[in-house]
Amino acid sequence: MEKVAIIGHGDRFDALAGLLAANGKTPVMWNHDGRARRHLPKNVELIELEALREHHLIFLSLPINEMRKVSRQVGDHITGRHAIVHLARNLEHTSLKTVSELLSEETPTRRTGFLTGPMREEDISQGHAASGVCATVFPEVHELVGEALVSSSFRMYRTHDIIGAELAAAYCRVIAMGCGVLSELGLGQSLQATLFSRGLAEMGRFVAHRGGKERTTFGLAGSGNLFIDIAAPGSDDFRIGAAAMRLNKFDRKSVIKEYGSRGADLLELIESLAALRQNKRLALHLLETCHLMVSAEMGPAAAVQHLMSLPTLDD
Amino acid sequence: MLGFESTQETQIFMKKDAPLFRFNAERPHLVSEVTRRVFADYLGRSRTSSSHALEYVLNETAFQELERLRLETGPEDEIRPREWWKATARSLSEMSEDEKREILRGLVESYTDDTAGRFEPRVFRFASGVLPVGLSFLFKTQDVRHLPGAQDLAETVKHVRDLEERVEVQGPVDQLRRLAKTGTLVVVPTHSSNMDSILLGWALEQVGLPPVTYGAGKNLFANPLTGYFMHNLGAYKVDRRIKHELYKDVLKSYSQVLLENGYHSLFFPGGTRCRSNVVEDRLKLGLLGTAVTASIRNLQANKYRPIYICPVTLNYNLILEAESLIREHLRREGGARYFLENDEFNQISTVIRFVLNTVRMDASTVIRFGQPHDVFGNRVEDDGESYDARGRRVDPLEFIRSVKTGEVIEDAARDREYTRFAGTRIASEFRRNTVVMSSAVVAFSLFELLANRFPNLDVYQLVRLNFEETIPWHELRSTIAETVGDIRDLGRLGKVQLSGAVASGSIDQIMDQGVRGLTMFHIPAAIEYVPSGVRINKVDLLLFYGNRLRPFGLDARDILARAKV
Repeated sequence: MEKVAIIGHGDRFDALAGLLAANGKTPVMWNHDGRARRHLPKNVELIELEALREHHLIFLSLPINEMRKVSRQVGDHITGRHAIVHLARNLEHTSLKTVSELLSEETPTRRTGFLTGPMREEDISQGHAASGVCATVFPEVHELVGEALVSSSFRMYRTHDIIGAELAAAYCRVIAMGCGVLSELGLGQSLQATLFSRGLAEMGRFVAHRGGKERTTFGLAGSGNLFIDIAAPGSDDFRIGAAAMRLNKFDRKSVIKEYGSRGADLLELIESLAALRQNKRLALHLLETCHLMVSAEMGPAAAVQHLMSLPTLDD
Repeated sequence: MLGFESTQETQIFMKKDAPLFRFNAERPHLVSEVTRRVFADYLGRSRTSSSHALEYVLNETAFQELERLRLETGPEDEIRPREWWKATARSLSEMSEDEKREILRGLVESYTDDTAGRFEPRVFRFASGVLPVGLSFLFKTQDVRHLPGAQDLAETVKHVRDLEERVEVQGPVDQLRRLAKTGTLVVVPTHSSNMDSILLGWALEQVGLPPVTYGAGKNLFANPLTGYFMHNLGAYKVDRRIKHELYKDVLKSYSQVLLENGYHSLFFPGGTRCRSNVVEDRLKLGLLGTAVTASIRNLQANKYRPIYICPVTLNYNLILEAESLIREHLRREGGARYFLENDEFNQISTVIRFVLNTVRMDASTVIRFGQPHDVFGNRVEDDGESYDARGRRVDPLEFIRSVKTGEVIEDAARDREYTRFAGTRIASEFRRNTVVMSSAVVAFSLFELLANRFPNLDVYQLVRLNFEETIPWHELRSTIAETVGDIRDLGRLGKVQLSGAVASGSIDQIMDQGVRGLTMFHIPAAIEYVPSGVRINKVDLLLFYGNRLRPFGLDARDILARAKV
C-alpha cells in the first residue's frame, strides 16, 4: 500500500507523526529544510522532493511564513490527483488568506484538507486518547485521512467547512493569549469562563463574517482547540499572555527571544487581524484589546479593566 | 469592425464539421439515449429506496403539475394537459408496477422530445448572416401597417444590414477556432437581454466559430421576434414553469448527452437575465456541472474529447428590457416597496424602436471572449493545454482520478467542488472582460450626483423621487472626468476593459455619447436636455446602467470630492 508523505516540524508535526506511529503506519518524509536526523520523528523514511509524485496523500505542518514557499516547491512535482492536508493554525499575514486558499494558488491540486483539534503531542506520546477534525469538501480526503490516522486512541470527526475550521483554529490563538493574561490576575475561575465563552462568541462572528459557518466555532476546531490551548500548562500563546501579565508590559523582544518564531507568529497574526477592528458591527473586542496590548498602547492590567468596562452585547 | 473576416475556407470547415449539422440525423438517437438514462436512473433509485418508489415520484410530479396548471391561465401548449394529470393521479394507487413504469417512460420521452429542438441548416445562411436575414424576414411577415412605429420600419430594415458595423467581437477568437476542432466548446455568456442568444449566435458565425446549441425559455419560442430563430438555430426548449425534479433531470441529462456527443453548447451561467445589471458573480452551476460528468463518461467510454469553457461578456451601450429588469430587481430586493410591470420584449413596437435606435447609435455593442478554461477551472492556453495558477502545465485527467487507486471515477461531491471552482474563474473572467460603455459612466455619475443631493434617502426612495432634478453641466462633466480617470486606471491594470470612446475619447465625447443614448433610447427618456444641464426623469434606469461599474470598487464619495461637487 502507498505510504503517506509528511513535511514539516514543530509540535503539531510531532503529534501527527505520533498518530501515524500509533496506527502502525510508516510515513515517508521530505526533509524540506535539511534538519539533522536526531530532530526528525523516528518512524519515517526520508525521500527526495521529486518522489512526492508517487505519494498521493501529503500532510503539511509548517509555520505560516514557510508555507507559501514550500507548497510552491511541492506543487512543482504533484498533479491534480494529489491530496494535501495541512495542520497550520494561522492565516497568511497581511492578506489573511487561509492556508487552503494559499495551497490552491501554489499547487495544481484542488483536493485540500485541514486537520486540527485537541491532539497535544504530550498526550499522544504517552498513549493517551485524543481527537481531531478533518475539514475538507472532498469525501475521498476524509476517507484517506481516516485510514491513515484513526486508531483505538484517536477519534476523527469530519466537516465540510474547511474555511470555517481554518479561521476558528487561528482565532483561538488570540483568545488563548487573552486567557493567559487573565490567568495571572488571580481573579477566580468565573472570569476565565466568561472570557472562554465570550471568546467563542466573538470567534463565531469572525468566522461567519469571513465565509465560514458559525457552528464550526463550537466544534473541535474552535472550542476544542481553545480548551486545549488554555488547559495547564497552556499553549505557547497562553504562556505569552501570562508572561506579559507578570511583567505588566508586552515586551516584543523578550517574547521573540523566549518563544522564537512561534512568538513572532502570534504577534503578526494579531497585527494582521487588527485590520478588522474598524468593522464596528463585528465587535471584535477581545481582538482589539489583545492588539492594544501587543502594540504596547495599553498595559495588560489596564486592558483587562478596559474589557470589563465595555458594554455587553446581546446574542 | 469585426476582429476577424470569416473566410470561405472556415465556412466550409464549419459546414462540414460543425456537430449541429448532424443534429437532425442524430436526433432520434439523442432522444432515446436521454430517455433511457433518466428512466433507468429513476427505476434504479426506486429499487433501492422506498422514498423514491415510482408511485411516490409520479404522485409528487402530478401534484406539482396540477398545482401549476390550476394557476396557469394562458393558452400555452402543455406537454400533458391538466385532465391527463388528474386521471393519472386518480388511478395511480390501482396501477401495477408495469403500468407505472410505462407511464414514467412515456412521460420522460415526451419531455425529452419536447426539449430537443430542431436545427434547420437551410435557415442558417452563411453568406448574408443570420440576423439581418432573419430580421428582414420577420418584418416582412408582420402586418406592419397596424404596428405603432411602422413608419420607421423601412429605415430599420435598411439599417439592419449595417449590424456588423455595430457589433465588435474581441478576444482570443483564433484560439477558440482551434479549440473547436479538437474539443467541445461550452460558451458561457453574461445575460442581459433576450437578444443575447440571437446576437451571440450571429457573432459566432461571423467570426468563424461553429454554431452552438442552447436551452431557451419556451416563452421565447412563442415570441414572434425570437421564435423564428429559436426554432432554427439549435435551441432546445426549456419550460421554466415546470418545477418538478423529473423535468429538471431530463434537461440536465439532455445537456450532458449533447456534450458527450461533441455538440458545442451555450449556457447562461447567471441563470436568467441579470436584473440589476451588476456583472454576475453568483452563478448557477447545474448545467456547468454536466460538463465535468460528460468528460468523465467519455473518458470511461474511451472517447475522450476535451471540453473547453469559454466565458464571454455581452456589452450593450443600452438594453431594451432595462426598465423592467431593474424594476424586478428592486422589487425582489425591496419587497413590498416595489411593483412589477410588463416586459418590453413583448411589445413589438418597442422591439422595432430598439433595432432602429441601435443601428442609429454611434456606439458599438462589444462581444468579448475571455480566457478559455477547462472544466476544472484551469486556464487553457493557445496550445489547447491546461495550466494552473502558477503557469505549470497540468493534465486535466489527473483531477478525476481517485487519489487512492488512480482510476477515473465519478464523485459527485468532488465534481461539485470542481464546478464551483470553475464558476469562480468564470465570474472573474466576466469582471475582467466587462467593457465599460459611455452610457454606464454617465449613468453612474448622474446617479451618484443625485444621491449626493439627497444623502438621507435610500435607493428605494431615490428611484421613487417624484420631482425632476436637474444636474448642471459643469457638475456632470467634472464627475464624469473623475470617474473616467479611475476607470482608465483600472483598465491599465487589466481589471476591466474600456469601449473605444471611454478608452481614448475626450470627456466631452464620452458625455455626449452617453447622454445622447440615455435621452434617445427609452420612452419616456431616462434623462432630458435642458438649457442648464440634464434633467433626470428615470432614476431607476440610471441605477441600472451605472450598476455595471459597481463591482470595480469605485469610491463614489471620493470621486465627487475630487470633482468638487
